[in-house]
Amino acid sequence: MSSIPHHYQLTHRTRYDYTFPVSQSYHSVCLRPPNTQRYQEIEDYRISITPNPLDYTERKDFFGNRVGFFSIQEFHEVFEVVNEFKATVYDSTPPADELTTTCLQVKKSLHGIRNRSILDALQYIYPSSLVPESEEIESFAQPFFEDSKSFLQSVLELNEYIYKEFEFDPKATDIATPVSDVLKLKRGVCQDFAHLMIAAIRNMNLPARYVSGYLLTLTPEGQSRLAGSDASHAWVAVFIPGYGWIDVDPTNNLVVSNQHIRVAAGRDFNDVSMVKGAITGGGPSQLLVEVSVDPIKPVNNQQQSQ
Amino acid sequence: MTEQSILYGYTPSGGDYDELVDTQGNVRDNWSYFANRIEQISPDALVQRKQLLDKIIADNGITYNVYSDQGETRRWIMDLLPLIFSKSDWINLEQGLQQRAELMNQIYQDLYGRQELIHEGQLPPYLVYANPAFLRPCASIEHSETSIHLYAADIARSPDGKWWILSDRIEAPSGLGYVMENRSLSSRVMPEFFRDDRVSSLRPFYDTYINSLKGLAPPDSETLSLALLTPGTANETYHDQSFLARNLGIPLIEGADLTVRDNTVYLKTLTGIKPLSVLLRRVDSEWCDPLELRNESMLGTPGLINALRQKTISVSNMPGSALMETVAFPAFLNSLCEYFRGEGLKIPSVATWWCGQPRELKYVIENINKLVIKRTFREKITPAIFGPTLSKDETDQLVQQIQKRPESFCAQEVVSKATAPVYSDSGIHSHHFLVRVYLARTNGSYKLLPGGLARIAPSPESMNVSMQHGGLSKDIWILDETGQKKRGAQSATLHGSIKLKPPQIDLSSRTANNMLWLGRYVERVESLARQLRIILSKITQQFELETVHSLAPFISLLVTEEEYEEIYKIQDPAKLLDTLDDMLRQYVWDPDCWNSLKAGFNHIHRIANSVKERLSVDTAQILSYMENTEIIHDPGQSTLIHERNIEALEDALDWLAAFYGMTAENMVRSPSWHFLMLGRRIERTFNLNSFLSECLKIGDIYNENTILYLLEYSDSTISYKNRYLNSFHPLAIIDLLMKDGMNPRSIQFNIDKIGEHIIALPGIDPKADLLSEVLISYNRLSNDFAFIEPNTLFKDGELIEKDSLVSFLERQMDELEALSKSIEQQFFAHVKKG
Repeated sequence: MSSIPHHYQLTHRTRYDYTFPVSQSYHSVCLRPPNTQRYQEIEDYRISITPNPLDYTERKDFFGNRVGFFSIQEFHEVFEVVNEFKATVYDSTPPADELTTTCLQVKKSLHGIRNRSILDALQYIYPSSLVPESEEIESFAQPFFEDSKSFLQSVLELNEYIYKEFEFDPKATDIATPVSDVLKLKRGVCQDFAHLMIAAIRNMNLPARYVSGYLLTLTPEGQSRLAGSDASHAWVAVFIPGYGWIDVDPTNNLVVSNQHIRVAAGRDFNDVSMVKGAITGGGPSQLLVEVSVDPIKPVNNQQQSQ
Repeated sequence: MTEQSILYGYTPSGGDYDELVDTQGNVRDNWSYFANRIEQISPDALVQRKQLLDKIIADNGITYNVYSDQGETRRWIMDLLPLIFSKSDWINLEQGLQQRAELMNQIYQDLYGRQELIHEGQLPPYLVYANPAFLRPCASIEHSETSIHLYAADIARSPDGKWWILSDRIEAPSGLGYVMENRSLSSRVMPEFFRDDRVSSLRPFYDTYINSLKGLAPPDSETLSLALLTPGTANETYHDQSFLARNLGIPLIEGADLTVRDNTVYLKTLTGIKPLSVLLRRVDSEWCDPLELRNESMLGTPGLINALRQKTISVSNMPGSALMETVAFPAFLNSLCEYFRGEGLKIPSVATWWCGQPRELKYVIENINKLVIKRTFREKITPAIFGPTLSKDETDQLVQQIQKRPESFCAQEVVSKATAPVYSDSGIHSHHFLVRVYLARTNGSYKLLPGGLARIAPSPESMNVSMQHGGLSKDIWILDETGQKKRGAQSATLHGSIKLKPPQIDLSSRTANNMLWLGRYVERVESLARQLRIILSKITQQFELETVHSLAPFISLLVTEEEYEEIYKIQDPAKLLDTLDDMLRQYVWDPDCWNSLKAGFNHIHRIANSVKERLSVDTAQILSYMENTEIIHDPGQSTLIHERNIEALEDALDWLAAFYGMTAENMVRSPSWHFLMLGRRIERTFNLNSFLSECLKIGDIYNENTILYLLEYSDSTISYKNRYLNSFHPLAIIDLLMKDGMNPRSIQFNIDKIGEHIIALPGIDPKADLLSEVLISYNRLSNDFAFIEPNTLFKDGELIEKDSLVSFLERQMDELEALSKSIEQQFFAHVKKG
């Protein structure tokens, strides 16, 4: 397993073309990736908004994500947000073999110990608006999470199961498809798989959260990568007391390592929606999303040292 | 009490505490004052007073909205007899309630702040983290010392006379308006009880309340301005909100009246946007910001929560307060009170068990048939289950449900409610009741309103105390036993000094917009009724193919293109009559047909409701009669083309005329009136253009009938005949309908009026160097119109420039649309140009 950090230049463009002029719009954006020692370092972060808002403010939300707020108070027919940064992503593969905490132990320590990180994790065992209580999902999850089994092992098995038994199909679902339908259809996109997996874990009273971010899409050798063909991505993180959060990606059957850039985490998509808006006017709109994640040479420190 | 007294023979239903008499049947001390005096009023006089009371309620339109498909409005019912408590009782109550309100404020600030209660194990995390009422965006607001500005509670009295708190009302407590109304009602029908000032006055509390609301304003807000944010006319307690706002002297506004700019909340008014410093919130928390909370909400304004974060505004009560009404909280309140205040609760909550704890779960299951079972969250969606009424099977089922997800359930003790005497035609009976009390935080402590809202079960047997289920209310009197207060203190507002105020210019943009559209819809419906009357009456009088042909322009403006083609293909008169009857009825009765009479009346009803406060009482009355006009009641099977429907159309036209007659005589010439009339004139100009051009395009303008119909549509038959007798010429009718400035149904007259109303609007200055867009649009319209000379379009009595006249009329309609748009932008939307 290589421990060389990967370097990426990311550009994420979100553009709305409205049929009629919008007279007023209010937006929140959850796009700024955190700097974390363990996973990633971010440099040259830049957000460009058109038309240019005059009232941009930023704050940390309840989950610790950075959220930007702004409004546009002039007529406009096009709205665009471009998110750009350079990221250094470290190999953060967890020592899976050592993490043998059982499902029962996880439950017990969540309810027994009171420290900030455990209490923070506690909120991810309860239902949320897109991850409801459900008997179907409970019985779907039951075989994976026996009390005596390692929690991480159970999660990885579920991860693999979703990857193998569910088909990636952008046409099968939309953002309003409830997670119980995804279970029946056995189809969907990264967001659906993440929600289904979270629902399965939470219906077992175990902690799981939704992670938004970007993924470097691997391309067959010899083919050039298509700029803009990558989209924003979503996956799951589970909490192991004493270790912390471990990210797994059911869409790709991966334990997250150095190909994912984390942006935000919350209970479900609603908590971390990348670009949100409340607009007046506009009529039907066309949405264009382009993401390019390009490998680059390391920026400054390495150049300096050579 | 003597035999003459109406209270004589009053026997409470028994078992529960009764307010008037003790268990021996003796009148309690705090009622003796009332009991002695009421004896002086004869039973007949009481009947008259009750009738007077009901009449005042009806005349003032005091209502309560019932949630149903029909949006039913129920008249407020107040009992003739008050509920009386002694001052010393009330002071005891105040101490306990102050403690609880303060505790709630502390809990709110902790849970939306550092959450020590969770970290230290005082409150189970589930009750907050899994709680849909815990609104995470509100947790990042830095809180001032008052988060819960108005605390209310429903309280009940147990058989031993002790008070219990049944539920805390913290999210957006309702009723302060009704309390004021009840007091003004009781002081009018029972004036003798108020003469010696033993009944505590409510006024000082309301003065304190509005002052402390003002005190919530952020320290560096430039101007001090307050408003009450209502969910709108359909809300259950809209009347309460509107009455309260009027009495506090603050505007009643809806989310659409607000705009957030640069993280500051502004009120959109005719004269521009004005910053707001305090918002009295009656919209539920979750609905007050579609950007950060429920994104489907149309009731709030996006950016409100962030404005709170930036401290440019204060909101009472703070968004997120619904968390404090969580059904399970009372189970923990006593220990939380110990934690924060080092003392137990002075007034107990109704005993509550949260099943998320093993011991409590066991107790609940063992005693399930003695308890009321509720959901831990979202109590409004799932009704409470009354344990004692459950069958064996139902009990087992419920126990299973609870054991599966114990944390989702709570149980409460069944509460007994006290009784009080209620006046009715058949005598005095005892009914169960609840009292809602109110405390406002001022200068760091809570003050209790010396009064409240008593809600009474609808019948002596009923335990169900709810306004939604037909309950009644009572005024609450707090009696000063000593009676030492000076006379005249209460009547000061009637005879004291008063500051004269100019009429209100600063109308909210939404109200102005509604007035404009009320004008447009009344005119639109009138035009439609005239159009239908022409069509129906001609067909009824003489049904021939030729009649239908001469009606072509009038039918074409009503029906769709396909329908029009279908009608004029038919050659068989009988079949044509059937088709017309069948096709036209939707334009009268179908509420879903956008240009039907029914839909038009529905629009009038909806808009009129939201501007009720701006219309005179009599005008509002006419609008409510209009809702019942016969023509809009779909008769089902019977035919449309019938004499009786023509008469019904006449009736409807009479009501519409009465509406304008009433507004002309009774409305103050404020911006409201100018907008109403502007709407009417714009709509009428539009319709005149449209009918005239249609008659030129597809009618035969040389045909005598076409001219007669146009005259009938524009009610100008007499003016025409006075001038031209029976000679019908297109030039004469075109001149009369376009250029005759004396004819109120000519385009010229209406364009002139549009100008007069525009100039009367605030911020419109025709002498300004830089003309506003509205004036530019208007000038374009009126200048274009000035240049058209009907004479020049004719040669030797023949209309040679028909096409150019039609395109002129169509261009005028575009210019009217442009004018409407610019009015909307300048007065209602306040959008900067991009």
